[in-house]
Amino acid sequence: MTSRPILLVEDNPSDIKLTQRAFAKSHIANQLVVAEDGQAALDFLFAQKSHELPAVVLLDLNLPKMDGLEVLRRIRADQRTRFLPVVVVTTSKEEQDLVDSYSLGANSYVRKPVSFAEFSAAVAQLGVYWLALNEVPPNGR
Amino acid sequence: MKKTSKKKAESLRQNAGLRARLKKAQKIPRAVRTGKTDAPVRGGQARRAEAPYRALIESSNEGVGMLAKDGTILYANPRLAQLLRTPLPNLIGSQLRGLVASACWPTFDSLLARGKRGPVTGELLLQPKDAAAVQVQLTLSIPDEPGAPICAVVADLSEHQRLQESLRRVNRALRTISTCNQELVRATTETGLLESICQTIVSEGNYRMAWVGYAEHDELKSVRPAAYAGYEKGYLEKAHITWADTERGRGPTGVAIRTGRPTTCRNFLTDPNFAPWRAEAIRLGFASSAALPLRMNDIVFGALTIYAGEPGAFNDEEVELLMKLAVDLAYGITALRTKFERQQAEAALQKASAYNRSLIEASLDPLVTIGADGKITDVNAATESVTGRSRLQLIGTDFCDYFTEPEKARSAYQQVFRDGLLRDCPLDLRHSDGHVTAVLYNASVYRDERGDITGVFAAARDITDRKRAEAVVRAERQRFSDVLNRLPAYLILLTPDYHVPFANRYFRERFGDSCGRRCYEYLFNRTEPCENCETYTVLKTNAPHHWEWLGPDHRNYDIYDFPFADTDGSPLVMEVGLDITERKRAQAQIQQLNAELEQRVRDRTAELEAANKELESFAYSVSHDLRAPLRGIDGWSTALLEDYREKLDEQAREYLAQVCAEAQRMGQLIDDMLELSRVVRAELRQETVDLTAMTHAIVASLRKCEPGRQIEIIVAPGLAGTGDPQLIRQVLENLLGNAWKFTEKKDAARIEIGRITTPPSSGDTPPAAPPGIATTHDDVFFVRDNGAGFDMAHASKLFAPFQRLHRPSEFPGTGIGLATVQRILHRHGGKVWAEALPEQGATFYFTLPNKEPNHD
Repeated sequence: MTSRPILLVEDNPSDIKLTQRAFAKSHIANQLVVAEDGQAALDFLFAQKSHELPAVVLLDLNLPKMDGLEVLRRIRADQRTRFLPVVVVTTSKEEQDLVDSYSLGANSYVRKPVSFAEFSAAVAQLGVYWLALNEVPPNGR
Repeated sequence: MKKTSKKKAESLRQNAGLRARLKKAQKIPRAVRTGKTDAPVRGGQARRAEAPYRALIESSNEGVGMLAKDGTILYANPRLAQLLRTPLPNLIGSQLRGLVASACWPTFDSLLARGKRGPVTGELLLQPKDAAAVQVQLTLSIPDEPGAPICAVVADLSEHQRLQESLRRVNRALRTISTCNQELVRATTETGLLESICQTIVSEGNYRMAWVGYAEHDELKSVRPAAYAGYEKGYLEKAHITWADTERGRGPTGVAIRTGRPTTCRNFLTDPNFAPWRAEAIRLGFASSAALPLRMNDIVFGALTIYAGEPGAFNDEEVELLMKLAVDLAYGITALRTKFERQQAEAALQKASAYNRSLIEASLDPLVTIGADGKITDVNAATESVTGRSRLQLIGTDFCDYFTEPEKARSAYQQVFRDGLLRDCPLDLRHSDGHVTAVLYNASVYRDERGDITGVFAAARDITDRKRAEAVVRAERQRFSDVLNRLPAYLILLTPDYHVPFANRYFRERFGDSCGRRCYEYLFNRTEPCENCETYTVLKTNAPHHWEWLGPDHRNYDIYDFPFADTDGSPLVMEVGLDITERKRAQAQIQQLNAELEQRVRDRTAELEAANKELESFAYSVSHDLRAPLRGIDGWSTALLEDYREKLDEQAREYLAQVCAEAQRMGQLIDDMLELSRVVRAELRQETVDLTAMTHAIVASLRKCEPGRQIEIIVAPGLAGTGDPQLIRQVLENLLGNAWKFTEKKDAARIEIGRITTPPSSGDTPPAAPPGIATTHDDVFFVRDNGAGFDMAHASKLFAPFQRLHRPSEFPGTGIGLATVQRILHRHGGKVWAEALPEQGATFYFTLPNKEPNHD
């Protein structure tokens, strides 16, 4: 299980707190870095050394300033972050959002359920998968 | 021999003596003339009277001789010597018996024996040496007186017979001529004449064959047999006789034709000229022939050739007679030919006359001849029918009486007499029944052989039809002219040199009359033709030309130019112009309106697009922004329950649970609404959808969700429709989901999916399409259950969003499903409707247009 941080890109404070709570309840101890808009997320990512990159980015699509899809596009466009696991976590069920996300190289797409119980279960599964099971190329290559 | 020569010498001496005495007797020919010669001969002694007898005997035409008792010839007159073909000196002293044919010796001997009793006569044949036998009558007179010589008189019987034969021949020739002359009179045709003449010659004349040959003027100068009679047997065909001076032209026929003289061949056996035909002639028993030329106007045109079975026939006398026959025959032929020609000419004349008359009678024009006195002399049938009077009634009456204006008619024919001619004089003929025929009279005088005018020949032409036709033409022209003048368009004709020979009223009213001016002169006040004149391009291309013209009246014309030909074939341009000013104005208006409309449509479309965008972003916001608070409500309620469980009593915990449930329900509502809006927005695909397979898949997933349910599900095989597979799946999911849901309280739940292919009649499975829903062409599918059903009184609310016919506590749901089903089917052009009874089940029917899958 990696000890790298998890980057949560989310602007809704309620959602941020609920996500933090879900992580806590799932006993995931990795640092949860929160970026409240797209630019902040990119600033954080591109400021990191490669070995300090987060294990996974949980990316909301509906963000102020720069939306989630643009963030994803820039992540994939950058040599350092092109293989960075990005899970789109959003309220949208729009087919177009799904298609766009995968087209831009999202690793996964999860819809936020209304029920916190379901959301918790989903977050737990995400943690297990992306922090324990998933392997990425070394040095982001 | 010695004895013979002695006797001979003696006989010669006696003969010489007799001759000497005869000489003396010649001096007294008076005795002969007076006839007193009998006494001295009978007496035998009257020497003085001997001389006259002697002369008589010497010149006798019969052979007279004196024989010794032994038959030795003592005396012979020249005739006897001639008969015996022996010179007189040789004859005297020879035995007469030796000159008699041996076959006749018995006769001779018998005569000699009997002669003592008086003169005896017998016929026998003399056979001189080296000469033909001669039939003679021998008379012997033996005197009683011893030593007196026997008197022998030899009459040449052959000569006699010949004369008799000659006579007979002449007779038969005469008979032949006589019969032939009758034939000549009787004959009506040349061939008949020739044949009967030949026949008569053979039968009456006892000739073996007779034929008539005509001299042909061909290359071979052949003689063509025209008729024959008798024993011919193909002789003429093989004979190849010509009248040329060649081998086959030297026979009697050829010579006769060539020379114009009768020609005979009296013995075919000996005549070298007859060599070519000899063998054949002998075979047929011909021995001699005579060819008699036939003349017409001194030209020999043929020959009559007659064959006899015996040689030596056709002596001069016979030929002379036959020649007369030939002349008669030639005359007969000439006469017949002349007669024939005359008959022919007469027949031709008659025919021509009848022909002329029939021409006149056949004429449809009334023809009439009028005498100088104005009286009709002859009429044809057409005149009879136009006047209603017969020819006999008309002839002799006044010509003028049959016209409505007799004086005009009179002056007309008087003009003919004066001028000799009348042309197209209009007159009206009155029929006996009163009706009048308009005619044009043409007349001319006719004259007799001396050139004197004998009458007028007048021909009328019935012009009733012509007048009628003219009236029709006039009416037609008037109608045509009216059409042209009332045409709501102009029509003009233009000549290649820019003149306007015709312009209809429409054109004249707008542009005035050309008055002989050229088009550019009077339309545009120009002095020369317009450059690039569109009208005249048709003369170059010879094809119609269509263009638009702004006239000097400032109006727009739609112009059609056509190549046109004048009645004399000269080229013209026909131009038709339609005033399209109003149309153009209207068109311009329409164009402007269209442009405005298009702009409006563009504006509206933009507005709509904006609205759509707004809607989309609204929907997006709904999905995002409305759900986020719900998550918060649920999340924090759950946090409260989890973190403060001990501090909350049972009721508080229940309330919080209710808050979570309501938040989740709200989330479901939002999802369903988004689904509904997506149905409207999504792009529609058209594919063939296997409804049966799709139903099986949906049912399988329903069973998986609720494995405990016992439901009988019947799916008809082979259900297929055309549409968007994803949307159709939503339809089936909703309908099957409803059926599944509303049968949950039934013990023997049953769901049936099928298709009605034939339009329903009546009975227990009516699809009962609402009025106005066509179900004739499209398959009607149905989903039937035996579940809760509903009251049909509420059926109208069934497909409206958020409308529910059951309490949530009975059957959960958002009320969006059937609204979505209806929208999907409507987008496909299909329909949906339902039938139900409370607690007995519901049947949902839907249709999908039966079209081929293609791009929508």
